[in-house]
Amino acid sequence: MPRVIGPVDSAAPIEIHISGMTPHVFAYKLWWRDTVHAEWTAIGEGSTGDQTPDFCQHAFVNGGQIFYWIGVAGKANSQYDALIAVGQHGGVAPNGSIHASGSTNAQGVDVQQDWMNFV
Amino acid sequence: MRPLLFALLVFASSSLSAQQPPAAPAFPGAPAVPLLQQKANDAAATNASQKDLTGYYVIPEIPATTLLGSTPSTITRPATTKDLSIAILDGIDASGRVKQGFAIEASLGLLKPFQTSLENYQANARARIFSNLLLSLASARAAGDTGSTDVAWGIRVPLYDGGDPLSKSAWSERLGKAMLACAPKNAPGGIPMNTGQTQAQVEAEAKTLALEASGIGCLENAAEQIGKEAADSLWNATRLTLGYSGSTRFRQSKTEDRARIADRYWLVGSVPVSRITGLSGLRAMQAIGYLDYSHYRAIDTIKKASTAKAGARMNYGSANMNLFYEWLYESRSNLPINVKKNVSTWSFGVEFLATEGVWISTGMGKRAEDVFKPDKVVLLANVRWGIASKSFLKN
Repeated sequence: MPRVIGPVDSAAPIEIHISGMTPHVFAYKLWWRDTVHAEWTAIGEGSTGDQTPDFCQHAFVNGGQIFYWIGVAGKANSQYDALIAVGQHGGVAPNGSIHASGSTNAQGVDVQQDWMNFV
Repeated sequence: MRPLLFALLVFASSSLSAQQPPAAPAFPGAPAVPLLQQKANDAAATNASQKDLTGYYVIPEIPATTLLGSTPSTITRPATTKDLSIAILDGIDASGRVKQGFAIEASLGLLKPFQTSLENYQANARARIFSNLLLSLASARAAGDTGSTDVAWGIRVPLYDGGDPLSKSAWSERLGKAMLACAPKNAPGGIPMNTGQTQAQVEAEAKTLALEASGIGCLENAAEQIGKEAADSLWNATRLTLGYSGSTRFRQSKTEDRARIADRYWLVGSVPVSRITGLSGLRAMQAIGYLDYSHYRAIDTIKKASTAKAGARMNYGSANMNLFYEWLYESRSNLPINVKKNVSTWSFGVEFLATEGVWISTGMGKRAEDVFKPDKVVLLANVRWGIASKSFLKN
């Protein structure tokens, strides 16, 4: 389900951390749009399978939205859980802790995607 | 090398056959087993005058089923702790009697205390053991007594698995890159602009929009491709797996009237010969060791008996084909006077991956003579699948 996150500090950038809570590889891509730029723009991508920090940020703009896509791979029919922590100033915003969880299919993969609105 | 293998296969074609394991998961851990293969092994053992000489080197994925007279047709593999609880409770009927014909296989990693992140999974051997430890529970009608039920439980512990690609950051990084190529180029259309809707309103909008998951097929292909590459690279990894199964009879299926039947223990390990000898030229050679001990108590019509088995095998080849030589020793108690209590056999042969998921193996030797007289060729259990497939992406 999409989320309404906030209230947020309009003067501070939005920070997004992605972490895997289960032994799966999570590949992710994030897009942003707002009332000024109505077209979706990719703002970050990566995977929890490597050593690179899974973090990105974007300046807050009124009407801000993030759409996320997360691909999951691991054991077949296994329960996975990825945590998307959205916040500011190093903390998590109200309603900003999102668990993308479910079960992989018989081939060991799944997809999670949704959006979040900032207020 | 392939022509030589085909020549051997033609030579031995009088009893050649293919084994086709069930469809497999993309990454290790899921049922590797060859339940069909196990059934085939069991059937072969029965046909071979109860000699039970097939199925060596294999710890069944569901050890619990080995102590039952029959294999339940449906195996429940719960993906959540809630599903696991429901599956266990389903094993008891409304009157408190044990149901016949259920089977459950579950990973310890399902339980919260044993859940771990990929980072910890790669760094911590104990986390890997707990995450991949499989528990099983099964029941079947007691032989010769329709009212009684035999219940068996089992555990399969991968003490060390050097062939698990998920445990290696180099492979998880490659997988992550391949998966990222499956991400959509653009966010989907139709998502309502943020005009300050409430949580309830955006949820209602989501229900109307009903976004479809994007990239599943691509992810399946990516996982399969990386899996094949991992299998080619890691087939001859060091592995050590422990298994145990126990069983109890519930007379008239009543939980209060029960008696222990049997226990069975397995220990199987494999190691690259180059690791033992230090000779890099033997990188394509694999050594496998196998121990198997079972003990039956005397209850009802079951006679007290013990069986100890030991085996050693050498493979030479690759992820797709190999030559093998094996030696097996078996010691049994409580046999008729004219039956040898200790039997030692050997075999050699060849096996190769014919098509995706289908292995063909054949061999010859004393073991063949013992099992399939007068034919001196025997089809051996698909050892590759039993010892190594679990960490491959197909099993």
